[in-house]
Amino acid sequence: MLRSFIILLTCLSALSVMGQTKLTSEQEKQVLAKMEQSSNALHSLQCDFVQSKRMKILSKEMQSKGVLYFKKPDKVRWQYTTPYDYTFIMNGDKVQIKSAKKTKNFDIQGNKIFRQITTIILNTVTGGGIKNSVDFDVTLYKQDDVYFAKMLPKKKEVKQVYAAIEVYFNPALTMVENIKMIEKSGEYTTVKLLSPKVNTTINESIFKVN
Amino acid sequence: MLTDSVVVDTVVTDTAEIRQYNLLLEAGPHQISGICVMKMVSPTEVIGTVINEFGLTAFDFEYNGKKTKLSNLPPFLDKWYIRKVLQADMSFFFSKLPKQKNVRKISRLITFSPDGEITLINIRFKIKYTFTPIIEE
Repeated sequence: MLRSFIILLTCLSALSVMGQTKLTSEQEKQVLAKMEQSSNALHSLQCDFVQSKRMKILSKEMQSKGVLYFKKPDKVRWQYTTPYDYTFIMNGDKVQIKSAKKTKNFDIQGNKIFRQITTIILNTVTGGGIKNSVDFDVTLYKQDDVYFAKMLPKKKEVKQVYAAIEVYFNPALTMVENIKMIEKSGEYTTVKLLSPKVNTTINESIFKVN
Repeated sequence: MLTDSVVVDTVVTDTAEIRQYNLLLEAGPHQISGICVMKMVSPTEVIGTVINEFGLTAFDFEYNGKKTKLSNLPPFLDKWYIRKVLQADMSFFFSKLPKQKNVRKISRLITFSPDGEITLINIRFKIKYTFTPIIEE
């Protein structure tokens, strides 16, 4: 009886590992083509997001919420509305960060770290050109009905903090649904994109960097 | 001259309670903002973490009633001189939390505002920490 139980457990664990499979080169080609097609068709995006961070030391999850606006090719507004106010605006080479007490402007060209951050945001939000990224080694997997890209950082600055970034797509491969940022310590943050509105008109003032 | 002020419900007094603060750290022209989450595990012991708004961990801390120990620092923060200053500043901060009285020493100054904001200044190194309570809806 015990032996059967152990065999059953072993089979179940094997199945759970098998649940996540690396795509063959042919599958990868097809998926990438579909992703590229979806990314090309995406001109603007507006959605809510929920960010969850598991804090090991406190055995607690912190959840923050906000709104995301994206307009091709390089305009992003990533705004946290609860429980804290924090806004990251990218407009071309300009970045503005507004926190509760301060507003600061940066030029991406003169700031290596911000160049990396904006590359990550653009890659993960649109999912486009993900495989051609020069900053990450990217492998595609399928888990149940969900495709995801595992991005391993190549650049020293990103490597120092992130072990990997996983970008999850919806089954139809038309949208990024979930982003998981895994730190070197094993702690991770997930960002779920909710209620996406694609290709609607977004007022330019949303991306204004003063 | 500093005066003691009445602080409304800002500091961790319940052993099971977790408090969240917006943390703004200013050192000369440099500013770093983040979220500081802390939990009182006993009347004199505090554990917690500082993360940036995007969720990335800056460091974890444990205060045992005398000293603060930092852990989980990314390599760019994990320098002995950064640890030394942060640990000493945080120890001063936690030691003054229970009484919530404004204190000025030769090297440091801490003030408690009625709205719950706490400001710590490291006078020697000109570092200012502003802790603003985050009220969850």
